[in-house]
Amino acid sequence: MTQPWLQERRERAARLNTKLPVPTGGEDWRRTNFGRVDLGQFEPLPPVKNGADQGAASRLLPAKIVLAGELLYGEQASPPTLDPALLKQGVWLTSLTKACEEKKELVGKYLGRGLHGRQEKFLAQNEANWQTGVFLYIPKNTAVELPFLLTSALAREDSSCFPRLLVVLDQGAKATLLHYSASTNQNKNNFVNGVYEVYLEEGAELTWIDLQNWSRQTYEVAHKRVEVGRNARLKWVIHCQGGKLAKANIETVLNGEGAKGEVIGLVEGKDRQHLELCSLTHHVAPHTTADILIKSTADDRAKIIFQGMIKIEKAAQQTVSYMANHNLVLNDKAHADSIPRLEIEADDVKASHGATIGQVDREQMFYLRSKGLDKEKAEALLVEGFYEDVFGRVPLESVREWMRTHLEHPGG
Amino acid sequence: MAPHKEQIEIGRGYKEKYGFHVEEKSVFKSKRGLDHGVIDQISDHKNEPDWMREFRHKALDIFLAKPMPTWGGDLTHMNFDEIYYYLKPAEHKGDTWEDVPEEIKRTFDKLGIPESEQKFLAGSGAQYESESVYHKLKDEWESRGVIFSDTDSALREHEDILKKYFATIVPPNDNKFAALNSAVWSGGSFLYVPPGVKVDLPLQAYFRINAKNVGQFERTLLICDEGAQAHYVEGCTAPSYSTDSLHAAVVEVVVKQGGRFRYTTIQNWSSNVYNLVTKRAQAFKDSTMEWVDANLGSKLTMKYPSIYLMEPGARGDILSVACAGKNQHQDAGGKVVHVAPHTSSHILSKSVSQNGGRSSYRGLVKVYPKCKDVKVNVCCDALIMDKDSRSDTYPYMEIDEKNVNIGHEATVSKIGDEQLFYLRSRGLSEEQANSMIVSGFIEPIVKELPMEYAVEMNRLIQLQMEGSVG
Amino acid sequence: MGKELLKIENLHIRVEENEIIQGLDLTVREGEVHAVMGPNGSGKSTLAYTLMGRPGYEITKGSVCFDGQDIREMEPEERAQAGLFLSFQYPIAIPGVTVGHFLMTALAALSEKGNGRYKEIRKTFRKDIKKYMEGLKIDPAFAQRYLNDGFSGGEKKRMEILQLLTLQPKLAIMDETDSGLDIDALKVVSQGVSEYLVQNPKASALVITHYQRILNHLKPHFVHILSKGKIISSGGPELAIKLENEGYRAFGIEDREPGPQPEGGIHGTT
Repeated sequence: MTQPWLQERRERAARLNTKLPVPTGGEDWRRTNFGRVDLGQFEPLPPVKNGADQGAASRLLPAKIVLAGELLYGEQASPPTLDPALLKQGVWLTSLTKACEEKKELVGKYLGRGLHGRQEKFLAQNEANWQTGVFLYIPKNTAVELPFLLTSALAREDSSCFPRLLVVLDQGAKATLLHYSASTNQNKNNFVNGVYEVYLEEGAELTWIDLQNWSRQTYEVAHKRVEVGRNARLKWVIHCQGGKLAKANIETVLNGEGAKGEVIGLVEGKDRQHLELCSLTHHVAPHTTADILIKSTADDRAKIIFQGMIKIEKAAQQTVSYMANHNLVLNDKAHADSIPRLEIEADDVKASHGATIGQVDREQMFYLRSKGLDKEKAEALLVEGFYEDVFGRVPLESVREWMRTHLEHPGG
Repeated sequence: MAPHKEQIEIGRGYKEKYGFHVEEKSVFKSKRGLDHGVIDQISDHKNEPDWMREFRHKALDIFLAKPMPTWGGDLTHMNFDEIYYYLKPAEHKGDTWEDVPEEIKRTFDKLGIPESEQKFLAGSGAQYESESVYHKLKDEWESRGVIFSDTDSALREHEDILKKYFATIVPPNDNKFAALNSAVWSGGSFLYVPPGVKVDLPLQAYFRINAKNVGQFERTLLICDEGAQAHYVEGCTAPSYSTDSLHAAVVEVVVKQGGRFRYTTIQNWSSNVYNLVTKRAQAFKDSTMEWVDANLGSKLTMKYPSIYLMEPGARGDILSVACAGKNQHQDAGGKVVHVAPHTSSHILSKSVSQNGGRSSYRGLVKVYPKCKDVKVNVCCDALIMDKDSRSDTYPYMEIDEKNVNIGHEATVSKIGDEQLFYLRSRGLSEEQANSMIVSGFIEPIVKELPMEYAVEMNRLIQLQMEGSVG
Repeated sequence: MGKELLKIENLHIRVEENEIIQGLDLTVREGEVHAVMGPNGSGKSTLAYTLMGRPGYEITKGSVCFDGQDIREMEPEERAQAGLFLSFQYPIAIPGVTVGHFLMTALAALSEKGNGRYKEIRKTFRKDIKKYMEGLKIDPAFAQRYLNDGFSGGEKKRMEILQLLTLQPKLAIMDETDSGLDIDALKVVSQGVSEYLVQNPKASALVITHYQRILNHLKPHFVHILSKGKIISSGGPELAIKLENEGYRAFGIEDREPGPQPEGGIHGTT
């Protein structure tokens, strides 16, 4: 039984979805073209089955971590596992559908708040069609030490999936979120359009580890947006390695005075993957700070694209913003684009960016080979070194290890 | 600390020094607006070969078909129907300044053009409205086979060589304004430097718009043959009017094997001029091409000098400085396109935004597949002087090759409080300190100008900053 | 006894939210050298910056008179024109502006404000600057280098002294001029300051330092010990000797050893 307010929203979005064409042009979309993908070939996922066991989410994550709570969503859903002590403190971890019924006011307040009014095909498509999602709410002044794990998994093929995530940290709340998106079979052909919204109220602190490992046959569009309120802190670690044609739009909106955002990302392109990461750092309030570091590698015939924007509004004085994007091209047939942009309307700011595109250093390569490493090993070592400053900033040792292992045994 | 009450005003003093106008006199003026009839009139007046007439008509069709660009600056107020596309100021071009009609000569005297020619130029040209009114190359260079003339004369006197290169570097369908220029071009400079000839003094052309609502569409083609060297400098100013003028030039440069060419622009249009210019160079084996591009004036400038590095060993340098003041938008930058391996390029951009001005750096670094051993370094620094101003950076890097080394850095900041305090503690007023820091900020580019221009540039900056207390 | 040049009474200074100087009195007469010594965080640099009028340093109470004028409301350049000079602990780089151009502009700015002395100084400026640079062992090529841009710590300090000698103020405030200098550089720099004092018998110096070693060269007439924003002890040169031998503890002060000196930029409020 769908709530009338939600039903109305879905219908409005469905009309917009029908009206809008798949975007193919403009600076935002011209580098990753979904116009050539026949979206009709994907069957919508059937209604979510509550088939999975409790604890299924952590079984899919290739690392052992002690958790505060977990939930599997996507094709199958599991009942949430949540530390009863947290439940008592008012922490919510449920499917989004359930939250829409039982936490109507809270969900109504936040769901889609930062996305209203956007004329974007894929946002409308998700809004109209999301059938599986998670709601996580941490109440005021509640600090949760252990991480939450949310896993979105797909096993079917030729399906389209519309995940939706809503995370709210109320004033002074603290949490760590592990989000893992994965295909359980590497060869499935799917389309995923996910919308992920996070709201950090005054003084809240969130560490979000965001791992994406869809199959190499998956088409993905993702919109991920974090609103960072007054004196709130965000640390966001992103790892993109799956997908055939994937575009992730990530937005860090520094909405309240003193807000701080740190985004550390790693994009690994292999085979014929086409991966685009589009980052917006939006300074709305004064005294906000952002530090973005995205490192990417393009191997084989992969194409990797980074578009980064630091936008500083007039009111956002005394802002410090930095964005770095470094790319390693590992193969002659690989391709890398880097477009780090700045739009600054305030004067009392420090904004800068740096970008590099290059190959592994030849001198270093020679040095390692002279010590007996073969070309592949030497390159792997140098690539690992290239990524090390990303790994070094991942706060969870187990995740760090997993990311390292993945690099050594790609696709494993 | 008291808020910075001193504002540096770009364009201050412009009106007296450059913004004057004299009574408009013309021997022919086309009607407002543009159609195929106007094209025929231009062609008739120029008595040019049929292929050029054809070229113009085709280009007009392209211009009409192409949509207005929606990126870059705001072009929504640009009204093509308001513009006079061809205005012939005098019957004949002067071979000496004495031959130039008195009023026009007075204008150039006031701007100091004949004087600089005497002092430090190898050759000099002057364009007034649509036509070149004067072009002179010193005998020394003429005798060594250098050709320096206006483009219309070149079409008459050196048709074969002009035809070989004309519109091969910037074809009419490149962009809307290149198409417009191709349709209505008039004047501009033509330069040919024969193999091995090194012209050690700058060649200068000065472009002046005098009448209201007039469009200037000079077409410049510069060829630096094998092992040759030259430096071309252009300057431009216009009267300050309340209605808009349009300047849409096309500049094509070819630098052949081992050649070395530098193109310097000091753009100082009045702030009612739309300045929409396409500048492109091709650099061949072991040659060096340098754009030094200073943008101080205009209402909106959209200009991205580009270098296509065609063969191994070619090197490209773009130095860009932009100052945007009140009601100004400088959308400037540069493009380097690496079509060959073993090529390198460097872009240095410095911009200053003040009094609500907006400066944008827009740049492209493109490396095609199989272009090994390419090095590119891009550095963009921007200063924002007050809270009403804006600065943007839009660098695009598209890399299709592994064996490359591409670096890009950009910073945007205001003048540091520490720097200001340090200079003031030595007795400099806040205004002097600001001005000194800004001069220092753009110094890496200004120092590349020939001394006379560096002095002029610094004077322009000073002029814009002085006496602006309260 | 010379004329009172600087008279500070019951000075209170606030930086951001903190009251750093809490009731300081100090009188410097013409021709005197005063040393203000204190551990890190005692307020030494705050005093120096405030005297020079650094924005953000607020006098909440007390008075500061220089050469008979109340300077509390004066802009930094007005203080410079009145004859104050601050040798910065961390001199600031001004890229693109050559040392020569900067010095000429500063001299012109000072003489514009009607001080006839600067007309004289400007006459022999080129010759003098060469001499000063020689004395300070600064390579003449530095005149064409950008001010403090890429200079080493020692080069920056020598550049401050070159400015001192060129601009010839009435009172030189030397903020930790000795920090980051080796023995030879310290000697060169101290000789520069001494030269300025010899050339200008009426000129005074306020030497702000953590350590006694620069005072071996500059020979202060008076030494003041600063702690927690107040002068807790004043005396002759013997005070510095006592400090050298017995440390700040002898004055009841906890001294945290300073860490490595950062380079470039103004740090903190000490």
